[in-house]
Amino acid sequence: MAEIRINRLRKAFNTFEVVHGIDIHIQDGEFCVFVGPSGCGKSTVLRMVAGLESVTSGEIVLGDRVINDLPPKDRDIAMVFQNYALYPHLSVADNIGFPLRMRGIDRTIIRKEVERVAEIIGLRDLLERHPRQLSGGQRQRVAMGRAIVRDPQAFLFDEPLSNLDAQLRVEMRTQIRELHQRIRTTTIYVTHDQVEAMTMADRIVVLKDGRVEQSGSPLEIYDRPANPFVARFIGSPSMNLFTGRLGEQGLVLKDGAVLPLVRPFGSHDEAVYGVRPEHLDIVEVGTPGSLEAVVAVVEPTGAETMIFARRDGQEITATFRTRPTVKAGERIALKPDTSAVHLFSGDARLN
Amino acid sequence: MARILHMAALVALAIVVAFPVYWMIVMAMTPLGFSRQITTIIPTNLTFDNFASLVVERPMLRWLWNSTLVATLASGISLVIGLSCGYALSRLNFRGSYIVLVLVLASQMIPSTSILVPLYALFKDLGLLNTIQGVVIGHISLVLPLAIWMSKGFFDSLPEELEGAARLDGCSRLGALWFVAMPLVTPGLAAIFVYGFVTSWNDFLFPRHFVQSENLWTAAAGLTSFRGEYFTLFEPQMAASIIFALPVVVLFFFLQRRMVSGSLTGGVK
Repeated sequence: MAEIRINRLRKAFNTFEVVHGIDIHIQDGEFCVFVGPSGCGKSTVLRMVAGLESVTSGEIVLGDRVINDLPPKDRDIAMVFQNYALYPHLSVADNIGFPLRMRGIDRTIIRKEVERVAEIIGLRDLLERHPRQLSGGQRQRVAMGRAIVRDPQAFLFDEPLSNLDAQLRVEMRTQIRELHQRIRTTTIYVTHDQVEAMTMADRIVVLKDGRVEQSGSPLEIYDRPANPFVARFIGSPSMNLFTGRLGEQGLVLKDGAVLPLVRPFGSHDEAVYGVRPEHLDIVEVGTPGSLEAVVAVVEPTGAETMIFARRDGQEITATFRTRPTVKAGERIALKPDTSAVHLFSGDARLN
Repeated sequence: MARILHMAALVALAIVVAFPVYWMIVMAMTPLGFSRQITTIIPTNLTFDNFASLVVERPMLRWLWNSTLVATLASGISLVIGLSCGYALSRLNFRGSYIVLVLVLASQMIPSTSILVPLYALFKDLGLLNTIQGVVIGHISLVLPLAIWMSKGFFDSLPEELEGAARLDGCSRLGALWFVAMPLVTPGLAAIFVYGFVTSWNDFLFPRHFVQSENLWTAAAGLTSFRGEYFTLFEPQMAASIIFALPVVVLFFFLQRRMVSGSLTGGVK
């Protein structure tokens, strides 16, 4: 096990730079999730850590070694790929034992290790099968088995769950988490799914266009997003964002409506006002500091009720643990909880 | 009714395809000089003399051995070179790789008759005329372009992640090729080998023109020795043709099972 430090890392394909000098420090034993929209460079960074992609400039340090120019086989890193990348011509046992075989380890020891790992991932009965005879979830577990059998310094996961159906995905999520709690190997996990990021990570690194937007624990990022992009990207349903000018009482929208703030932020600058769907309350129409909107859709999920409303062409989402009795087409007023408001100016957070 | 028509069509097609083969066998077993006098479909007077004469009067076995040697070497060497070229073209991004591919393809489009004379001059300078090596090298030039393209195609169909995984699991690039990529393209390798073998086996142009001494001819060149200026020895020629065709058929049956792909399923997704 070891910490991973990524210093001023850049990647360019020919003259086109896709990763612009990022710094990430992952502690020993940490489960770190890289999350971002497609094309943000998260997989490229992961492949550079693995050694499958060359480093243009910067440093990748694993433990106390700079591994920039080491071939992948000498990095002591294991990776689970999105499409599993199992060896189709080998049985499950041989797939899991492959890394050991490549190290020239004795057959009987390999056999024992494979059985030990098969026990952990629950595939004891399937060792003689071939990958084509397995379900998606089982293949995923074989890929994980192949990674843990080596006892590497770090695990890399490249969107490992995106090929599974929704239910299996939730199941595997828990299993990967459990596995990590058990073996505590430093892990980098790449996903575009912010729910996976929130539920699995010790730490989330939000990436966009080859830059780190924010890095921190899931709740830190959820509660204090550093900029409008993170605010919108993390959380489902997304945060409501309103653009307006700062005034004495709060943020003044174009149509004159005022969104309240706990304290004035001075000037008449343009700003973005963010409020999460769960921080909106239905109040009587006309209440000061509330926004009037027309209900478009009501979605009860049982535990929560989601209301999509529209105002001036802008969508507003609100979720409630209670079950409000509103109907589509109704005119309602929504009032933000001022203690949970996020205020941004340009790319920076104001409050 | 439709089924009967369907059957009839199939039978007709089978006759069209099979009859020349059948007639080749019949002629091969007709006594020397009598093939023009056969009047029935089912011959009565059969003999194996023509086959015997191939061995006794002509170096047919020697020719077959030469053919085997040339075809195996030409195909084997093309396979090794084609494999490494195809792999490099499939996996490495280097400047000009596309141009290399197009040039390779272009060289395949040149008919072998048009390179015969330049090759002859070249081989003469290199002292390769009248040698088996010369024929092998000539045949490699015929087989290699397609071998490169085929092997590139097979490697392209392999997901790159498999080799990525192998390299993280402790393989060098070469190790990943050997332990993971190669076993998965075996059907393709078999197909390339068969293609190269058949091309070389069937080629008449190069052995006939680069080699003067009868002892170094391949069977394809030997087949023409039955044709004289004024008459052709049809019966022994047919017998030689049968023996000439057999090894290729046997090889194909032997490698056919390996050529059936499908071993790749299940590795990814």
